[in-house]
Amino acid sequence: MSSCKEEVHQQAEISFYHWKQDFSLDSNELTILSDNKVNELYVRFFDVTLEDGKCIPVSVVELDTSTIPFEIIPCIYIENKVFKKGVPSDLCQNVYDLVREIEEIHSLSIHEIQFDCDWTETSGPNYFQFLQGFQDISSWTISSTIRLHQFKYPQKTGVPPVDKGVLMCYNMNDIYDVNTENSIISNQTLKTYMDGSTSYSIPLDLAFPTYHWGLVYRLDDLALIVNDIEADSIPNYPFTKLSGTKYRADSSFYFNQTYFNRGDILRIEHSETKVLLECAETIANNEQRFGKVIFYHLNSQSIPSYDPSFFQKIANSIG
Amino acid sequence: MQILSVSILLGHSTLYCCVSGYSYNSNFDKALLFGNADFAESYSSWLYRYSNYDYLHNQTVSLNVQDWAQFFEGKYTPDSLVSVIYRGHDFESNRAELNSLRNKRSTELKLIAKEESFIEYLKLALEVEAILENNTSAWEYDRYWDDNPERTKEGVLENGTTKFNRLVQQAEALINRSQFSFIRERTAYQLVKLYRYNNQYSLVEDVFYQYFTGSTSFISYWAMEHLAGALIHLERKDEANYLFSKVYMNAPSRQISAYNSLSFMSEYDFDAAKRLCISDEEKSGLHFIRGMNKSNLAYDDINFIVKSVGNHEFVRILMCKEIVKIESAIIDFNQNNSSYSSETIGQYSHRYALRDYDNQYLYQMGAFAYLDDLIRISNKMMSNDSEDSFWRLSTAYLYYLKGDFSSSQECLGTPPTDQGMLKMYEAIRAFNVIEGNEILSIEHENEIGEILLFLNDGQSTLSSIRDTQARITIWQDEGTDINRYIFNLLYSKYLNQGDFYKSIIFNCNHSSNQLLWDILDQSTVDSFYKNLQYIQNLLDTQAVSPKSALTKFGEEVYFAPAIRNLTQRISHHELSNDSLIRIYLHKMKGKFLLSDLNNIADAIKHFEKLPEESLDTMANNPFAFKFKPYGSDSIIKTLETPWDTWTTLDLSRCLDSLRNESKQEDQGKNLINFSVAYLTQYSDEKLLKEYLYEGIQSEYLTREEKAQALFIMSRCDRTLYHNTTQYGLYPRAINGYSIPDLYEYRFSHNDNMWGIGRWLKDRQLWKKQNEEMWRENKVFWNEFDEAYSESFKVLKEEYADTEFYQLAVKECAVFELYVGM
Repeated sequence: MSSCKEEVHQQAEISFYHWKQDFSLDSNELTILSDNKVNELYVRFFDVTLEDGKCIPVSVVELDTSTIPFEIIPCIYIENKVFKKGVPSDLCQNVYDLVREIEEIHSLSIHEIQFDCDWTETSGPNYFQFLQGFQDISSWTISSTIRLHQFKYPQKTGVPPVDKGVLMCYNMNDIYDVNTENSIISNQTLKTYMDGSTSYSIPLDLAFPTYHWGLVYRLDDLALIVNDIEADSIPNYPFTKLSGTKYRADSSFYFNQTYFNRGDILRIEHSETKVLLECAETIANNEQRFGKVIFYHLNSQSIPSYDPSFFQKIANSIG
Repeated sequence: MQILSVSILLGHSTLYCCVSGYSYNSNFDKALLFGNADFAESYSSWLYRYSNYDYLHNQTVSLNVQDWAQFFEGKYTPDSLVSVIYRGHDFESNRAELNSLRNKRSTELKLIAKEESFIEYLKLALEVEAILENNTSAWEYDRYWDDNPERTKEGVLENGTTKFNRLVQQAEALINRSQFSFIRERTAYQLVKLYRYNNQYSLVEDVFYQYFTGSTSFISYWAMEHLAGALIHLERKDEANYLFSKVYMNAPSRQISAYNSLSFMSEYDFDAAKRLCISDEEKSGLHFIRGMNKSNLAYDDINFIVKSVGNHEFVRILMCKEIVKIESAIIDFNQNNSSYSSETIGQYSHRYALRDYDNQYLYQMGAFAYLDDLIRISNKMMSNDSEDSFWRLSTAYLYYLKGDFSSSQECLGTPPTDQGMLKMYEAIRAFNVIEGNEILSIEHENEIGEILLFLNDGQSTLSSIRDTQARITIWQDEGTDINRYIFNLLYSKYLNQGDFYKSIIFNCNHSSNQLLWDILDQSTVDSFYKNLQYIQNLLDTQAVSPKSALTKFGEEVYFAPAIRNLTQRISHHELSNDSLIRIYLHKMKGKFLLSDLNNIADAIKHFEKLPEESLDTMANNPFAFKFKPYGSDSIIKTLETPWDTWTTLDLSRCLDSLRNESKQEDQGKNLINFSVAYLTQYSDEKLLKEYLYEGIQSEYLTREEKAQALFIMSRCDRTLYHNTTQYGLYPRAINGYSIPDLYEYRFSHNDNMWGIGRWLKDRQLWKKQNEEMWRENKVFWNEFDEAYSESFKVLKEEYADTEFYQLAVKECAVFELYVGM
């Protein structure tokens, strides 16, 4: 069995998500893309939300594509509440038109689009209807993000009617629980969703995290998320270390452009190389194969902390 | 015609709720605590101003027109100026506008000059407004105060256009020639706007300091906000923050925008702005602003303010905010949860008692450590200013949150004189009595009942205890509800103690309309006689006297719909609420008896004892059955009766008679009549099917009658299918036994084709439906067809020659569809 697996083994393609409103790449980011032979970049174009009962796009991307020799795959995040009561009229057409407008404005050539929606049993049928409708009006390849529970329970949650999916291997544990060790990624948690034989009925790519953040708990609840926080600078501030990743603020002060209050618990979470490689092994031991690994997200502040060969190692493991 | 319905100040009235949210449910009720404050002057106004756009807009308009009315020295009332300034039509000509303005001639030359100057200014301001609107996307201009506050607003006007230059020249000319400083300031404000939106930030500063130095006028703060925005672009962030804070403090109408424009990213930012402050109050203002941030804990800021300016309104407002914050960490109100149960109600108890703090450091640094901090500072303020009721109430409430009810009671001290404060005082007293005593004695209950009556101005009601004005104008969007909180505490307590009656009447999410459901919720065994016993228990408990003030209050709230209904029907008897409640409960018992085949005679006896006017009348013909469940008037009438003159007693007698007659061998028809009446009156398809089945077995029933019965059975199947699949196996009948077990029971002892096998299939389909919601409807309906075409098939195969069958095919499209399959 294992020799058979090795025969068909190929390295997965590498790609990245770009999830900021302003799209422009600095030289570090361009180097990372070039070193990893990235051909396609997944770029968040806009979010769709409900405001006063109306379905509207928000945070539309501002693209600077002057130096981008990559194919751009637009990603549209649609809030689950959009589909709570049906498929908003004209949503397919509106989304399509806006993407086409951005495509034209920036002389892009779009071949694929990705939708991200954390659908539920209630909203799922409507989201799927939307996807079906979108297929009817566009000739693009359509992909949809798949959460781990959706991957494990396709009978219950359904399989979106798309050409392919992207399994999201992050946001695994309860972010609101101060006792959670790491909410971003955990091999232990991953194993509960991948029992070796789990497979999905449509082709899948894989999304892996490369971000880190600080979670601030105040009065026992998650109060703030501080992006790109570095543990290195913590000793310069009045924190007491409580455990490997947890710190307590001993007074009120500003740190990393955030006002901390006395008593706050800060938990710093990383997507560590070791954990990611373990997760990749768990995935490799599963029957499901993945065509591509997409790292979330391209950020010159966090990516350099990974060894240059890291991305290839992951791609080799899961291909 | 362009509509210029907005302010000539900055132009836009669409002020949203934008400040980092301060809209909470809270027992520490701001409306009661600050209700008597002067909204326009008090800093506390900020607490609610943001949450009510209409109020905010009206306040802005009001402040502006008052300013102008003062300029006109009382010749024009503020109200009369609203339509002139906030207009829906274009500017005509100076002469026409002047004529339109003048509601009375004036001989005083100075006033004439003021009117002329105002018209000149109005023309300019409307033009500036128009150019800004036309050259700015609605998003950038209309909502700059919200997502895109003052500090990030970019210039939008093209430099050097003819119109822009003309407006600047006109503004400068008007400033130079106007003899009124008021008009000069207003015009300078327009000039500030023009330069600001033209990205000429240095000129904004020049104009501001030239015309507004030392001014504390209404418009000067509006101009100051633009200057602060310009300074951001000039990379003078510290000054900008300082000016925004000044606007925040001095211009209630611009507080939201100023608040959102402030930016403190580091200790340096904060200190730099603070160094520019010229008084302790200004410095305290900065701490107040930081403390009011929804995410932040304000303890350190409160301490600073107390040290600087003592018992300032800032401190009371911040404490109020902190109490709401700590309260939400300790009590989960979740008042929108419609599915109340003993599980969810538990959330109203103190969480700390339920938590397992195995991580000691989390406890020390968590909500309860902060609660202790707040108690400490509140206690200190109370000691320093014992006359201030606020601090006694805040300390008492904080102790209550901690679960220290005796300290809470002690802090309350003597009752305050202010009515709002007094209500808050009494509410805390009620919380302490309820939670401080494991068992409530009759004295406790009387005390709580009297407090509830006081809070509600003598009425037994659950509507808001706030005064009408505060509720309507200020607090309408907030869900604070001390009444409901007290009821939930009582409900939780009585439920835990197994006090069936009180746990029903203090369930504030229910009323007597849901009485039968409440009874069935209490039932662990779905047995008719068990449930009947519950009703009897209710009647027995309700009859106990004397009653406490609390029980009376709870009864009158719970049974309010029944009391209203019966009062209208039997008003001439002048019965007490207590008597009306008893009649209602007896009616319930009668209906319940009627729902069981073997108890109709008892139901009749029961109804006969009640006043005739209290009995329900028939809303529809009990012997008429619609061919289609929806959208059709075609009916099958099985029996002609004067039903429209009947009461429940008449129906009971008729049913009894039909039932008795049906026992005779040749009276199968009566059984069908009886069944139809049950269906139409009680919507109990399950029961009906049993009777119909029994009727069909009768060899004396004609084929026409059997066809009719089969059709009705098919309809019952369909309805039951919808009930079981779409509503989660919960019947909707008045006597709706609420769990699937009964369904199983009822059919399992009656082994027929709709028996247990059907029930299992129902359940399977129901489960499948939940799992396969995402599937296309076709799959779902195929399964429906498979399950429910059976009775139609029997009808087609065995009764196609009947007249009724032909009629049914003609009348019922659904039936036709199934027959055709």
